[in-house]
Amino acid sequence: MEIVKISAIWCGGCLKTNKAIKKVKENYKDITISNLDYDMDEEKVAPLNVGEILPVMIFYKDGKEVARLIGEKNYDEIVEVIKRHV
Amino acid sequence: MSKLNKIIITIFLLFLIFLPTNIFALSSDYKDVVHEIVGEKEVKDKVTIYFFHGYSCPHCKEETGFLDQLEKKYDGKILIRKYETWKEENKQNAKWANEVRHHFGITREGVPLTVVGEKYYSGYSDVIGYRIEKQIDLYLAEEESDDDQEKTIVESNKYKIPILGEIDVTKASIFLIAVVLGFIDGFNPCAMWVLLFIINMLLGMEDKKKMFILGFAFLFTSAFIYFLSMLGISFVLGNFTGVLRSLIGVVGIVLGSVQLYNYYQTRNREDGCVVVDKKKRKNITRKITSIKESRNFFLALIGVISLAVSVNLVELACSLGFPATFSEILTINNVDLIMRIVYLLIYVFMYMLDDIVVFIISMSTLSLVGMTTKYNKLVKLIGGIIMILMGILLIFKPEWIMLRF
Repeated sequence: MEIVKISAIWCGGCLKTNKAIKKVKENYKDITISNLDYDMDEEKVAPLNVGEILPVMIFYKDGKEVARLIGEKNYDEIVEVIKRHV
Repeated sequence: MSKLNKIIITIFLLFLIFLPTNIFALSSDYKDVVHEIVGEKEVKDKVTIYFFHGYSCPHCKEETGFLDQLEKKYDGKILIRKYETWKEENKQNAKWANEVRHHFGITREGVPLTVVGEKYYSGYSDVIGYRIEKQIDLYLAEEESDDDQEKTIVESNKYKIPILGEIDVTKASIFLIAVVLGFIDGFNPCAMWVLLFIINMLLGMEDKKKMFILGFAFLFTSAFIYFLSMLGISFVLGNFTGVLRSLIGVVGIVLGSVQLYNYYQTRNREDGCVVVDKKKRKNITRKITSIKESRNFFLALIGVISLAVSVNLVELACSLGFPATFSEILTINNVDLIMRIVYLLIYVFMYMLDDIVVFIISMSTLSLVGMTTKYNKLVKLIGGIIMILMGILLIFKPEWIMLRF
């Protein structure tokens, strides 16, 4: 499984979510988590159709998008999605 | 003497006996303190009003009309003494006005200045007129009146509270309003994202001392701009009463409604950061990058300060309702300049509190921390309701915001 997180440096809610993501990384070592910056990685972010709320987490399984979490989330909320799709 | 004549005379005498106690009983709290200053005799059976004015001052003219009405309403119960202070030949009156100011410790200069008993009123607005009238009513209240409530009002707004001792409720209320409104206003996410940008830039710097100086310069300038704007608003409000107050009330209701509508529209949306206008963000990113790359520390400092000025002027419009309402509360309560500055500083400190916390934690842990966005919607809802309520009060019940309990 792979998670792509889109966030921005000016976004407080993204920073909060980063903490949760860090914990996910520690507990689910086999999941690849990559980070895209809303401003710096504009070209990569554009095709993902991110709305106007940040952060956004997109969950991929076998290269296909299986779920999307929008907004500030805590550890449990992220883990719940992972468990549903693993 | 006929029997009828006897009866008439008896009734007349009885009438005479009752007449004075019915009409000319002033409250024991009434004390004419100005008559000695202006060298007039004390009139014991009338509430004497001392009115210092300038011949061409618009508020004085307004108050003169108001006092004329009072004279008619309280026919024979009040005495109004008027002193013009601006004309060359009235130097003595101006001197007396200064002595009165000195007696009461009034720091605000200028007219109109009105004294009723031991209460003084600097400036004039319809709210002040309302207060003057209420005060006259209290002084005219009969001696025997055991109404405790009235007594408390006469003894200004002081209440004894355990541990804290004697507290002036008006002052305590304004303090509380400053704390609450400032705090809610500060939660407004308008300005927070720029601060995060700045901190992110600062964390990349090697010189920790410079990092702190630049960060504090940004916070301090932001606070200062906000403070100055509010002080300016409160001055403008102080000079145009009445109509402008209703206007602020309308602005409050409109902005509050917009906020409530906004809340309603987004109530089911996920909590998170709303992407700010792209052009604005690009603009600020460019400025910050140039600050970051500047080799000269002072240029960087100037860059940070100018960024803070421009950002905060724009963001002031973002939450105009709160600063304007608070400034109006200060004006209505006739808070003098020094206390006005004190209350505004308290307000601005509360407004900056979330930014200060984020800055200090980020700097001491050397990692960017953010405020959670989980409460943004709730703050929007509460803020909207408060703004609408304040707006309605400003228009229809300004005397309620006068905080006299």
